Amino acid sequence: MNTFLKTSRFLTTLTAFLLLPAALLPVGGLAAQTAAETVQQALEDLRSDNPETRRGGVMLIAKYPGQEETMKALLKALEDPEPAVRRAAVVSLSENAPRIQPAQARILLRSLEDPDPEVRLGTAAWLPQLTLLALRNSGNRNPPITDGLRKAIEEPLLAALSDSQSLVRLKAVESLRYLRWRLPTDPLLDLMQDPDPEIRLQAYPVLSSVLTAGEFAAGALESGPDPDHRVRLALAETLATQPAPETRPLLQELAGDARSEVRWRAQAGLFLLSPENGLPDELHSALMEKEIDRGLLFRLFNAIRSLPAESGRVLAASLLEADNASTRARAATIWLRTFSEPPPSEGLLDLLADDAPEVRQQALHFAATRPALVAPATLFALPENPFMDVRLKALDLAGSLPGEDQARLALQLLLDTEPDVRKAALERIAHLQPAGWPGLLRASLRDPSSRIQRAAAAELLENLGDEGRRIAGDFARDHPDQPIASWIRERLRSAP
Amino acid sequence: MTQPLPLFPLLCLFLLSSPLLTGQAPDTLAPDDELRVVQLVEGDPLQRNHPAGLPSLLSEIARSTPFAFSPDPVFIQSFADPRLFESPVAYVNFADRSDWELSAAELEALRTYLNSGGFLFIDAGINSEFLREDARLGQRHSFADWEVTPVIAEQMEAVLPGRTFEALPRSHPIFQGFYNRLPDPESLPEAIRDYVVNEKWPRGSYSAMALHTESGRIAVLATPIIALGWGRDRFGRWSSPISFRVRESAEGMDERLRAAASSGPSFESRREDGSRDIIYTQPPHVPAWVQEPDGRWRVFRYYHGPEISEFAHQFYTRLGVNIFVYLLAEGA
Repeated sequence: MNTFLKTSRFLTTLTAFLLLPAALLPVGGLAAQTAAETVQQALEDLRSDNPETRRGGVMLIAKYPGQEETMKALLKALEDPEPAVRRAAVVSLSENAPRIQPAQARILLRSLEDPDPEVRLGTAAWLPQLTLLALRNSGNRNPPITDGLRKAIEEPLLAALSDSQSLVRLKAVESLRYLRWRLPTDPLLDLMQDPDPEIRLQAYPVLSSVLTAGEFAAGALESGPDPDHRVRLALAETLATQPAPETRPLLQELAGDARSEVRWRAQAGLFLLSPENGLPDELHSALMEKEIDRGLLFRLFNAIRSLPAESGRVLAASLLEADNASTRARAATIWLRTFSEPPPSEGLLDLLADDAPEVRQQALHFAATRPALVAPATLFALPENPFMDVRLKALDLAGSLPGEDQARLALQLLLDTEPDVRKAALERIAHLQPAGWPGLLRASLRDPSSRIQRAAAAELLENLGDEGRRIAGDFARDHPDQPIASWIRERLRSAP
Repeated sequence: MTQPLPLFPLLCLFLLSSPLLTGQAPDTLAPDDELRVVQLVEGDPLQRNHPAGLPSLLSEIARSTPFAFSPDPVFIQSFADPRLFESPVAYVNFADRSDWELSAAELEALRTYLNSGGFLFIDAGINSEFLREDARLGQRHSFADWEVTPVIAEQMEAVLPGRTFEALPRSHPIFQGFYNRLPDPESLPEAIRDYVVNEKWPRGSYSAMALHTESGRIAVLATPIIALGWGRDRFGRWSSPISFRVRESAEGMDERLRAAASSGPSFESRREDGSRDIIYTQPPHVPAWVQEPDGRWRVFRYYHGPEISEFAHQFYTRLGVNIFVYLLAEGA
């Protein structure tokens, strides 16, 4: 064979090898098997009389989820007479959860009724995902609920809810929120008296969404105060999140709880139901001192907003000193919104000087959108504000003042420590041209910041006509060593 | 240059006044005596990884040991921040910093800090090869390996020239400083109980690498991620579930795995004694089986479930407590 042919055959072989799908490349271990061959060996092991060999087959085949026989073989292994094999099959299936089809998930759910506790526990470990999977049809996330589908899911789930192992019950409770039909009420209400507090803790929030408010409240009242304070806290939090008139007696009971964190949450629920009754002191203290869940905070302030203006203003004002910035910001929004005449200057200035940017932003937004409600005295105090974001906005907020007042404000800001603020002030002075403006711009040519020097020079040369150019030229001549002088000279030379 | 606080005397003073040595009940420490931990986070601390992790662990240490830690860390963005010297213990999660090239100021500050008695704990400072592509992978997988992530090794060895990271043996007292055993394994599935107790975390040990000072004190400690096991929510429940990766075998498995087809890359991981495992993966980045140094082959199995998660959280919390208690006690 000539060299050309040899080379050509070699290249053909090499190309074919490189084009083989990666899954078929026999790169593992010493021997040269394809994935299909390894799977065939695992299937052989699954037919062995030796349970240990079958268990090995279950573990090995799980590593090849892409092979057609894999899922079928693993599901069949769930019926193996040997518990160790069934346990291994459940773990192997959970390793391949993304590949499981809805019909296969429904078969797998039957393992919740397996006589072996470890099989039931292993299945329960991923029960919420399994329930979701079982609820789907191929390509359809929300298939119609047929009797068959309902039976396939409901029966094992109800069995799991009363399993002797609390961890199985726990995962079954977690899965309840995915069902789109009503389960029988009694087994659900039983969960409120489950001996395991972790299950009651998990159950209350879930049950509030699968039972009606009346059923939920009646069941919880009948169960009596839970001995575990975390469960009572979860209950109070759940009720405060979605208070309904039917839950009022339950909220009233919890509002007298021995634990403060339970009481104030229950009080929040009662306040949301009837804001006109006022904010209880303990809830007020919680708002002043604690970091409150954002959703609850939002609802509480919505309720405050629904109050008549005067009561809303008083309540909001009392929360302006809260420790938490989110609370202060929401209180500020409502407090400002209640005014139809300018609010007290001192109050507005306090908000503008708040440490939290979100509070200052609320005050700035108010001043920008309702300029008629901002007293000039407030605006003239802004140059003293400790925060640059506020001082930077001062001139924009003063846009409706007479020109001379704006110029006075700009003059104050020209002495600011921040170059950005001085630059804004300089531009406003150039625009307004108040008495003495040439001197101000000339002084700015000696500003410590080169950016301000450049801005002042640009205003003089580009926007202030012959007089501006004259002032700049004189400055460059009188101070030839100043860095800005050469820039001015260059500009004057290149001017038309 | 930063003027360091003398950390050894500070720590000794704390310990001398602590109930550990005075015999007082732990809850008699006044809040002013609270120890703070410095935590390095690049950018917004609210965006850090496992945000509930360290505060929960510090609360647990304060609850169960005489060390009255404040649950609130002092956040710094750079090791050059003088607040580094406010605590004898600094903590950083490897993924909370994107660029691990330390500036000259940081190198110097950290050197001064470590030489003055400070400790640096780099959580997720060990990332096996298959996790190095993306720092986020190392936040979810805690793979036992005794090789520090190369950039950490390089930078820390530049902080303490002449010193190199060494594997901490399983028998090291850091793993038994406060708790000296694993949580009760009875709740674990039978199939994995022995493996967890005898191989995965024997006597509560873990893969850890340490950089020692010349005096032999641990200055820097690196482990695979453990903060994922510390966090609790306001109800005291663990913040995130944890699964187990265990090695299993069955009759004839050696022969099967030796010949099995693998479609993912393989990589090596280092054991405590320096020997190597060869790990075969299946896409995406999932260790599938392993060839062990003694020639044995085993398959990786993934176990989920509340009982597993509970055990893992208890273990990681005990491990965290042991590490902090050991570091403080050793420093004294």
